[in-house]
Amino acid sequence: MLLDIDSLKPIYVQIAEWLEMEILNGNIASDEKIYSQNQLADIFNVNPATAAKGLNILADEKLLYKKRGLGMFVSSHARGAIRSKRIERNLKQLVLELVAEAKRLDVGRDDLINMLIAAELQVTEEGSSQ
Amino acid sequence: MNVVDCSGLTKTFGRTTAVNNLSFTLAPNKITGLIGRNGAGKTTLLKMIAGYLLPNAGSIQVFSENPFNNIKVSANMVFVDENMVLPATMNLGEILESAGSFYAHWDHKLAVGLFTYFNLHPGQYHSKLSKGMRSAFNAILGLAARCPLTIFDEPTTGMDAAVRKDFYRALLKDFMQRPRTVILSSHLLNEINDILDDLLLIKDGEKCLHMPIDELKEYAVGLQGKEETVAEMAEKAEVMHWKKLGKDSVYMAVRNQFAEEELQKARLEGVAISPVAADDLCMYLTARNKGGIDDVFDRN
Amino acid sequence: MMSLTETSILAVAKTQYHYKTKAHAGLFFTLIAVQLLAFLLSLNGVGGSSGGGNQGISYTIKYVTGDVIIIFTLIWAFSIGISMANNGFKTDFTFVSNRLSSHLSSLAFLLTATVIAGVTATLCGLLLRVVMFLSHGGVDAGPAFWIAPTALLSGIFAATLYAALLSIIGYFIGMLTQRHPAFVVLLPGLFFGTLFVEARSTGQARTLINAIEFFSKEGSYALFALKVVIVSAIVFGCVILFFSRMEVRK
Repeated sequence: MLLDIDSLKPIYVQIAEWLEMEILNGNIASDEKIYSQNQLADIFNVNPATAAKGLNILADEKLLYKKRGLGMFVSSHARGAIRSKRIERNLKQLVLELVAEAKRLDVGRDDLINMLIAAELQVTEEGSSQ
Repeated sequence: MNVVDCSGLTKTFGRTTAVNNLSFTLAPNKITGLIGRNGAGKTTLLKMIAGYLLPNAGSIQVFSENPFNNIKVSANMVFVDENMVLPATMNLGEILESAGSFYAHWDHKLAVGLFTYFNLHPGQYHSKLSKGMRSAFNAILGLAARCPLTIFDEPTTGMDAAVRKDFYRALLKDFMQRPRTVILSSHLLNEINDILDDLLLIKDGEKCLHMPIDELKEYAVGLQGKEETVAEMAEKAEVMHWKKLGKDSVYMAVRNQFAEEELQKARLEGVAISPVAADDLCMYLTARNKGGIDDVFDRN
Repeated sequence: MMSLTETSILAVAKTQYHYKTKAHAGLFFTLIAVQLLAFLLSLNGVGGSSGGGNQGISYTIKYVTGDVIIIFTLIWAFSIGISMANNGFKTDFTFVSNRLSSHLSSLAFLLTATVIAGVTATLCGLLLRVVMFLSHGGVDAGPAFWIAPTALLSGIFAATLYAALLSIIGYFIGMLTQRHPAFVVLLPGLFFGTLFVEARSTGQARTLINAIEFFSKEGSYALFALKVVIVSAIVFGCVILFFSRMEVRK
């Protein structure tokens, strides 16, 4: 299923993040109409109020704008804003946890950096082989 | 205007108190999950809302009227449970036709569509159906009636997993097409969690929790780590459940009143922080004691 | 919010009446069965037959009446009253209903059923006459054989009223047993107990006889009808009054 029920994140946050990914991937372009509350409820099989909450997170961050009677549209700056937000919040958090785990396991800095380089190569390879 | 408004609602049967001083309101066009363990008073509460039973104390208003013996409330309400009494002399097709004549918003196309989908046949008789099929038929009646107040009391009894899933999805889709107030009782929260707006949790006839389901995920956290570290954190929060793991490791479910920084700090101190599944949370909140069944064995 | 449906008790009762006629159509087969049984029993005559012989001519006198048919029909009417109270009430609350609409629709159904029962019982009695006449090769039936249409109508009228009264009493008793299962034992106990005690002390069950004679000894059709209607109304009024707070346990 699309949603991770075991995640600590509430479902509407997960929906908001999914929408961000859709924008980030370019599946929905700037000034294009985004999914409606009922469409999202249908996709995720959740209550429409929950879906609306997910949309509202993006609207509150001005990543979406409302056209009266037409629905919500993706703002022109949305992609860039999502990118910097993700770096700031997710990536830095992941790095922090990464470092903490390395410390627990007694993995040195150089080893960690080598692992990072190896991981990057792997991701690039997987990306090109697709 | 609230669809249901209860205050100090109490119902006793002889010496047992089924519903005890219950007060809550249900706003229109929301799906509320009524969760409680067996014997918590779910059915009694629902039957008072439906106007079948008379409360011993307190007041209850449905559509701003007393539901007991009220034709207007009855005309706008449908109550689905496994004991729906239907004439043994009429086949399913005839029952659907008759049911339609009672409800102003009856959607016959939907009824027939679901009927065919769930592999029911008009010539069958209600009493000859398997438990799961009977539940499916009753649920179809409840959906197609399209009543402003739709009550499902344990609607999926006997249904297999696939049919249950289909039913909840049908309910959600129909709800989106025609929003209405739905009360859905169950002891399995996991299944209905996602389609709910609100949760009403009751224990021994009393209200335990009534909140939007979205907030439930943040209501509690699970902490697992060294006993002293976790115990220190637990001092500041309400403990719902604890369980000893290994030598000096412990798991606790506590009320989530921590700031993000506190959780962050705990994480770095080696405390594993996990979400408490809504189902588990309800189980902890309605448990007889904080250690659950383990307490019985630990005493020896 | 979905708009609330406004409805009236009479409109709901009408829907329930249609529902009940469909759901309880089978009761009419039991009516036919009961009347057929009564018809066959009646062919042998009732009250015993007497016979004799004189100078080589022997004769038998058979008393053949439609009474058994009427009595069986009345028992049927009483039992459908009980059955409506037991099944109708529970079934009604599956869909739209309140107590009054449920009782009204049951009453309408019972009245329909008893009219049919009254007509068929009377016609069945008529058939019995014809069959007896033909089977005994009677040439001259005499003037008493022919029933005037007015007499036939008054027969139907009386049979229907009796049946209606009994079905409403049955309905009341059925509701009492719904209220508390103890009445299932209590009511027959009370009924037969009084019969027995009275019969022992005075040799006659006066209360029952009085109750029956209250109706049967009435000479005027209008007064008879009035008595039945008033008593039925009182019993039905009691149903509405006594059971308006009754809970639906389903």
